[in-house]
This record gives sequence, structure tokens and C-alpha cells, in this order.
Amino acid sequence: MDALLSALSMLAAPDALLAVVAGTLVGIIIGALPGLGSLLAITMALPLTFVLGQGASVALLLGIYCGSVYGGSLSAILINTPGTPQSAATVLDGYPMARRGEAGLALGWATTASAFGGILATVILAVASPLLARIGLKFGPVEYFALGVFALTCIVTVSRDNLAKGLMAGLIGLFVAVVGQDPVTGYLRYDFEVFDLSAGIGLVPFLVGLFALSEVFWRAAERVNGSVPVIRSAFRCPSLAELRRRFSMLLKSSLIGTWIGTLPGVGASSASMISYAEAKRSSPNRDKFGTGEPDGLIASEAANNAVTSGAMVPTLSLGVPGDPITAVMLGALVLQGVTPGPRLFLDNQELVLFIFLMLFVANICMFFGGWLMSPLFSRILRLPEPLLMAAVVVLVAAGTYSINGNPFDLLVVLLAGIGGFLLRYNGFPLAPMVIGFVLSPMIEQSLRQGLLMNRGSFLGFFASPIASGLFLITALFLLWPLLSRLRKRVFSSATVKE
Amino acid sequence: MLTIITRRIRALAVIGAALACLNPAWAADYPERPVTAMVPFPAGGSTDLMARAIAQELTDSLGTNVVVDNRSGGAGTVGLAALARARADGYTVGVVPAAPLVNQPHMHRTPYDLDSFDYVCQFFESPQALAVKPGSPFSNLEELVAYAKTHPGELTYGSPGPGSLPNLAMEQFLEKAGVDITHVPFAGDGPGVTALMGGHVDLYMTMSNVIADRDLKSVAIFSEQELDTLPGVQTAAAQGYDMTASWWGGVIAPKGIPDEAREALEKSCKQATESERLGKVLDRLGTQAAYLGPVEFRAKVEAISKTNGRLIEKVLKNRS
Repeated sequence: MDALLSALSMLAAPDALLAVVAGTLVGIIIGALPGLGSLLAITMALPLTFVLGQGASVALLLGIYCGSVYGGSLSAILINTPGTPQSAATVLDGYPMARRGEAGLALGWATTASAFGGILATVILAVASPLLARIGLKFGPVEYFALGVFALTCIVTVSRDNLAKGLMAGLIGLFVAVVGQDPVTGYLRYDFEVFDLSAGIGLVPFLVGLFALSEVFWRAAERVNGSVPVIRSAFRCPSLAELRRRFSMLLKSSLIGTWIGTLPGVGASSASMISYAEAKRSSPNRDKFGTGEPDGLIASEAANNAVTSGAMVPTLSLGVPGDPITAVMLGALVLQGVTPGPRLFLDNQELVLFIFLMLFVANICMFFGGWLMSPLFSRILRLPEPLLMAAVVVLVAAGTYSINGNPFDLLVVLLAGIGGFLLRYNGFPLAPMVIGFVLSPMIEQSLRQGLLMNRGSFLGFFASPIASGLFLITALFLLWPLLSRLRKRVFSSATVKE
Repeated sequence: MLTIITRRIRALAVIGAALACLNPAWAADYPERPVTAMVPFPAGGSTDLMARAIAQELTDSLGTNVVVDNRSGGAGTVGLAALARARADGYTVGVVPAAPLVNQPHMHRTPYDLDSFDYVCQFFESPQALAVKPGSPFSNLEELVAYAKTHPGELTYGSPGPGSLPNLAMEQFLEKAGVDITHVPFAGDGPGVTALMGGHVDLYMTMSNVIADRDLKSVAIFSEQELDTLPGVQTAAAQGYDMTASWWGGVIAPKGIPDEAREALEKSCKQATESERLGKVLDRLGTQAAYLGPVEFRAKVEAISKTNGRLIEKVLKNRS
């Protein structure tokens, strides 16, 4: 009780509240700018934490974290470019909605889903953190591999028009991610003796080039034909009835996000794809996925924001950060004299409570921040198109360069942009490529680790009940269309016989 | 509105100029502007946190801002390549752990070698330890080696990556002990330690603080003396395996920086290492301030590069 009181008094401090509001708003803006992501936003704030007190520092970082993950959805919906890699799956249904003239509603859903996911995950975190951390430990390489394979089924989902082309794009994505250092032997692969390739192809330049730059090329090419869609729409909150109808989707996606957040090393980008794949499997509107279906948007956004809280579970209770972003948070906490780990919950209860409460506040700020700021962003769309596209090119270049200060990344953006344009021109969907690219390192490393641990035997993968369960779900998902057709045929032949 | 802003900027400029006058006398020439400290690993990691801590010390003693610039990728090689390419004017230095200097160039071609840099000082070192999974029957190296001898290839050990310092130290130990334990590399200590805690690997080699922070049991510490943070864990040497292994690093600069800058940096670096504040930060990060001057630092880099080069040749290149 004392701990709760002192946590509340820390929360009520004006500098902490100001820090969380400012952090959230700055986070949304940075997240919405393609190329600038959560990591950059948090890193930029890191020096400030040397000056601010413990409470304000933590508040600032949590605000930026939540805001930036949400902010990525704005550009995903409005300009077909995920502002952060975490929003890659948001593009799939968000942008088609915007094209249909429902940008406002798409923003409304993204904001609602993000806030809902974040808040629910925070509540779960507050209640079950130590328990969740222990479940997370059950996930070893074998289980990660099974999870990665399940997430790959997303490719089927997003390439409905042409499965063969979708699979090819997915394979290209899987392959491009292989460039660089072998995760097991340390050898270089596909570097063609070019040093810059030895570090691999960066996720941000690849993603930004593939989506943002190719979109610019596409619009430039389209303009010649004179068909430019004008999207006019303000922020529109989904109605209560709609909310009730899609509540189960919100709930499930948030739970998936929370759970995946607790697994170290998976991260929000994969989480939103796994959630999307699961939504596609189970949503009553699954046939409309990829054409602007709110369920798809919800699946991605609720999950990626739930990850923000979920990822704090292993960070705080085990001292093991779940992704690079929480690694920075962990670092900041250590610098503030807090040592995350099993003992934190006993020794520094008020700080743990403060973090939970702050996450809660940050998510509420995020909702109102999104409400206030997304009209601003959707107005950006009404800029004359050449101006907007030029601005996107500048942002993309500046944003990407700012991350590593490596000119090679700009070359990657350009090549990915050209490649993306050519693929789109030939009717290849881009999303499978990103899915392959994001999941490739996890799948490859966990597969090879699993093989090393099982002395080269694949059978060991089925000894784990968790992995076997995931493999089974994957198989069912892939065979479902076949099974249902078979069932229909049996059923119809039965009726004919009658 | 605008005039207020300009007025504020002017006021700031005046304050800045006034502060600049307070610098120590030798700073009049070097440094004249902020110094960039390149860190070849991402923000928030142990290397980065240490770099930020020493950057603060250098800021105070040099009298100019020392700004951390993270150039991550390729296990540190991208940052070192950028550092080797940077202008050698003393305004770009690197805060680097040893691995990309002493290991990576043996694994593949890098656009730099040991001669691409001037060595300013080593400022940190922390010993490595070998941890066992929860519920493991092993409590010392003797039991471990005895089991591994009768069950070759059955045990697994994790490391933060292929060709990382802990990977090579463990291989050095396995060579001495004459046993075979399968290496399972992870992408850093985060996933690796979690896998050990979940019992997915039997052993994990890493910095001692990573183990001490998480209440994991270890069988050996690879330092000269036992550590307070790992009570009851004997050194490898005391258990009959004469070797030490640590995670260490320091400040380097592109080759050929001006003497004036080099002297100022060397002096500040030594001063920083003696600082209580830095000591505290390093202590929290589980490592210790350990000063080596330019000559000794360089000699150590060369010596360990030689040993690790041989080990890499043996274990990484011959295995596959």
C-alpha cells in the first residue's frame, strides 16, 4: 500500500506528467515520419535522462516508446508507408481503407486499437508480470522456430490475388535478409567482397525504400495517366456498435501482442504480423483482408502497442530486454541506478508500480494525442501531390541516414525503391517480401540453433509440445481451404445422392 | 515572438561564450569544438552505456562536449570501418570493446586492421564466467569436464555470437580440457541468457556481471582472483585450467591524430579512469575501470589478436 502511495505521488509530480505528455506527442511525430523509428526517438531522449530525475526520465521514455509505436500507423494508413517497422502489417488494410475514402475511420480504428492494446497489456503486466516471465522462459530456439513458421503463413493471407507471386516475393524477402554475417558460423554470405554488405541489409532502409520510395515512383508513373485519388477525411472514432462487434478481435490481438512482447527477441514487427496471421485465420471477415478490412488494422495495431507493455515484462522481471528498444530502456534504468531483475519487484516495488501507472497514462495520452494530431496528418494528404511526394523523398532520405549515418543505407533505399516499383509493376505484392525479411533472421537462427541442440535431428523439434502445437496450427491453417473444399464436396455429393 | 526567440538565442550565445572562457588553459587549441565518440554498437547496450559514461568524463576534462555517435552493424565492424575512415584530427574518437579489433578481422576481410588506429587507453575490463542452467548438477569445472568426457557432444553451451570473446574463450577452455561441447550461438546476451534460464542450453559463457545480476549459478570465473559478486565461484586457474578471459576495451582514434590532441586525450582518458563517478557507472554495469596506457593497450590488442586468430582458424574455419 505504501508502495502504491509513493508510486502515485511520483506520478502526480508535474515534471513526470509533463514528460509523459511531451514524450508521447514527440513519439507520435517521430513514429509517423518514415524512417525515424522508436529506437531513434528513445535514443535521442537518452541524454535528457542524465538531467531529469528518475520519475521524469522513465515517464519520458515510456511516453516516447508508446507514442512512436502508434505513430507509425499514421503514415502506414495515409501514405502506404509504415512509419516504423512495427506498423508494416498496418499498411495491408490501413492504406486500402484510406484509398476508399475512409482514412478518418482507419485512423480512428488504429488509435482505438493501439490504446486498447496498450492499456490491456499494461493491466496484464501489472497483474501477471512474474508469471509471464516464467512462461517466456519456456520458449527456446525450437519454439521460436515454430512461431516464426506460423507467422510466415501471413504471406498466404496478404497475397490473395496471386499466391504464386506472393510466395515468390516472400522468398525474395527471406533471402535478402540472409545477406551478411552467418548467425552460426560468423562467415560472410552474399557480400560479393563489398564491405558494406557484410553488415547485411538494414531493416529500415529496406522497408522505407520498398514502401515509401516505390510509392513515390508509383504515383509519379500514375500521374501520367491522370488518376490521382484525393482522400478527404477527418478523424472518426469507430461507433460503439462497431466497437462491440469487433471487440473480440481487439481483445485477442492485444493478448497476442502482450504474450509475444514477453518473449525476448521477437519484437513488435513480428508480433503485428503474427497477430495479423491469426486474425486472418479466425476473423469472420477474413475474406476481405487486404482490401481495407478494419479487423486487419485492429490485429496489427492492437498487437504492436500491446508489445510495448509486454516487452517490459522480461525487461523488468528478468533483466533481459525483449528487443533493441527495451534494451535502451533497460540501459536508461541502469543509469538511473535501478537494476532490473527478479529482485526489482521486491526491492523497488514503488518504481515498478510507477512504471505500470505511467504506461497506463502514456496510452491514454496516446489516444488523445492521436485524436488531436491525426487530422493534422490527414491534412498533409491534401497537399499538392508533387509537393507531398517530394517531402516524402526528403524525409525518407534524411530519416534513414540519421539512424546509422551510413551513406550505404541510402543506396539500399534507392535500390529497394526501384525494386519495389518493378515488383509492383509486374503485379507482385510487396507485403510478403517484408514479412519474409522481418521473420528470416528469427527463423534461420532458431532453426539452426535447434538443429545444433538436437544434434542435427529434425525430430527433436516435435518433442516440444509448444512447438508441436504451433506446427499443428500452421498445418491446419494452410490446409484449411483444401479441407473446407473437401468437406463441401463430400457434403454436396451426399445431398446429390439423396 | 520572433524577437523573443532571437533574444534568447543571443543570451544563450553569451552564456556559451562565457562558459568557454572557463576552460583549462591547454584546451585553448585542442579541442576547439565538440568531439564525436563513435560507438560501434547500438544505443542502450553495455558498450553504449559505458561510452556515454566516459564521454561525460571526457566532456568535463576536455572542456568540450563529447557526443556519442552510434554506428552499429556487422558485430562492430561497421563502426570501426567508419572510425578508420574518419579524419584523423582528434575530433573523432572511438569507444570500442575489443572484439571487432581482435576477432572480426580474422573472420573476414575488414577495411581496417590494427594499424589503422592510434591507441589512447584501455579503460574497462570485466572477467568472463561460465554459468550453468538452473538445476544443473555441475558445481565446478572438474564435474563438468568429467561428464563431458564420458558424454561427448551431449552438452551445449551458448555464447552471445559466433566469434565473440566469450565464444573464443570457451573454445580455448575446451581445448585445454580436451572435451567437446556443442556451441549454440545467440544474437547477443538477451536471448542467450534467457535460453540458459529456460534450460535450453546447458552452459553459457559471458561477462560475470550478466550472471551475477540474475542469480545464475556458475562453475568458474576466468579472472586472476575470485569476485565478490560471484561468491564461492573459484577461478579457472585454481581449478587447474590456467587461463583468463575478459571483456575489455578502450578509446582509440583514427591513425595519425595530431600530437596535441593525442596528449590531451591520453591525459583526459587517464583522468576519467580514475574518476569515482565513472567507477560507479562501470560498477553498476558490472565491469571495472582498468587503465592501460597507449603502449600497453596496443600490446594487449596485438597479443590477444594473435591468440584469437589462431583459435578462429581452428574452431570456426575447420568445423564447417
